[in-house]
Amino acid sequence: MAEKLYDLSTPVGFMAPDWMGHPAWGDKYLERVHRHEVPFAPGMSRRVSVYVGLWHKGTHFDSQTHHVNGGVGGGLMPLENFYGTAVIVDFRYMKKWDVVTAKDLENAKPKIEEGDIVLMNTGWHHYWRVNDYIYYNYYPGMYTEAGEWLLDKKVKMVGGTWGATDHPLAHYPLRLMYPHLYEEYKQATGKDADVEFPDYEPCHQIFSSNMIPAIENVGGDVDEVTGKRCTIAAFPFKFDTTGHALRVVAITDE
Amino acid sequence: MAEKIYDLSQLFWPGAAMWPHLVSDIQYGRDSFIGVRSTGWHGLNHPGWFDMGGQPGMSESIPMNPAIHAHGWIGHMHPGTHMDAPIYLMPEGITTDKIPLENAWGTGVIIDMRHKGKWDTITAEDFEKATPKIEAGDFVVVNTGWHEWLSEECRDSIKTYEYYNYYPGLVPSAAEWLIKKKVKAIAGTWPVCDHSLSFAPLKQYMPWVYNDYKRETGGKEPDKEIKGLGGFEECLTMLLKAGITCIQNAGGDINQATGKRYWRFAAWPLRWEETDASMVRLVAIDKE
Repeated sequence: MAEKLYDLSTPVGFMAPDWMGHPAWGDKYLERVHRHEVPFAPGMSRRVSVYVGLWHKGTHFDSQTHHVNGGVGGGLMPLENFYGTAVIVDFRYMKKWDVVTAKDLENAKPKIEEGDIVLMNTGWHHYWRVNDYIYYNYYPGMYTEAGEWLLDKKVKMVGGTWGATDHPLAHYPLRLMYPHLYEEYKQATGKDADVEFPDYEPCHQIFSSNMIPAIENVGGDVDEVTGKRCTIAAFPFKFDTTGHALRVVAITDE
Repeated sequence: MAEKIYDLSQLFWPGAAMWPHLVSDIQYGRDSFIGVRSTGWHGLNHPGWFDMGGQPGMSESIPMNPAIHAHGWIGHMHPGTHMDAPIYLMPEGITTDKIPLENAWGTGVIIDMRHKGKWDTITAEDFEKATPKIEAGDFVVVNTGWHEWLSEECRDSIKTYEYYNYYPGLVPSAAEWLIKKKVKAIAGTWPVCDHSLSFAPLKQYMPWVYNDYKRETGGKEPDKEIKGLGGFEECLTMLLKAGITCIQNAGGDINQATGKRYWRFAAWPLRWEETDASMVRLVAIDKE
């Protein structure tokens, strides 16, 4: 059997979009590259790129410390969480603002088992660097019910092809946090997002406080392994930070 | 079969010692909201962290139950345990995101070089005699023991000087051996695979080490005294040119894992375009 590796990470570069509401940081962000001559060594130069921004960028997970006072930084979480048997479930049938329910998870194929790493493919990664607005404002996402279901299932790690672990509308008070989205939802559906989604990022809370890494912005070649069982290896670099850019790799034996 | 994962990476933290050469340092930023989310561009200020600013466009304070902390970063991508991309040294080389995943995953060995002392060289003969035997296609991880200078006990002390300036490293003939053997990757408990005195002209480039060497040897020149010492980062250049993955600053629990062959090593670089290096988590996976 030959091993095959699949890259499930989004490419991050100059035009990589940022989560809405971080324009202060988004504006500062750049990848600055320069070459500098090595002093005293003729013909020698080095190329050094500099990153300015958050580690909550591209494919990344939020550490416990992102949401929990005194929580554990990402690089200090147990390595075992980041490696193991995984299912990549197909949620590509979901549309704009759909909410992942317990039933969706219950019926997912392949079946989600206890201790699994669960990656959910909504297909939204196709909007990455194509349409930032659709990518961050419309993705189908999880709310309290899905978070609790996955916690009960004792999953090891979760992830999805979405802008955040929680649904875009699950940012109470949305009326104040993201007024543009609040208004848009109201006009489109006649509903009040703050009534429909009264919890602020409940899945972030559930996963953070239970040491379950939750990967956001999964992408890359995820379509190729969707609907399959495989091994995921996504070891984060060893920094004590709130967010962790990381490479998510699926390994199959074919 | 049970799998066991060994962490072979150093912890990088705001006070971690950095490479002593001419590079910019890293700055950390932090943004915290506890209880109330700030409205202005200038939110909570924390001594020692640069202010990341609040969220613009908000007209009033927003009560928030959860805390939100977010770290920012200004700096290069070579701190702690990291992988250098060929473009770091060669304009025609590939960037980090183009390094094939297969080059960051595979079987290999952790070899014991802890008998090596200050300024000792690691040679082709050392690799030839290493146990377990180095095979073609291997991940080769070298434990010089030098990572201990960056351990919890030493990290605030002058001992980090030893780590960056006295470590044992490769000479070009050893790099040649690895290339001939067609290894996949080379990692080590060193700031860079090249020997600590391989930064010619050392007298101008690292005068402090040059002076240390002369003082300790009664006035001898390192490049005349040490057999086969390379020029400026010659080994790294040779290895990257040959398509061999190069990982610096290994460490962590490597002492508990040395002298064995492992089922797999993993060290994924970030998929970040235009970058010349990436922090990686180097791990060894054992099947028992």
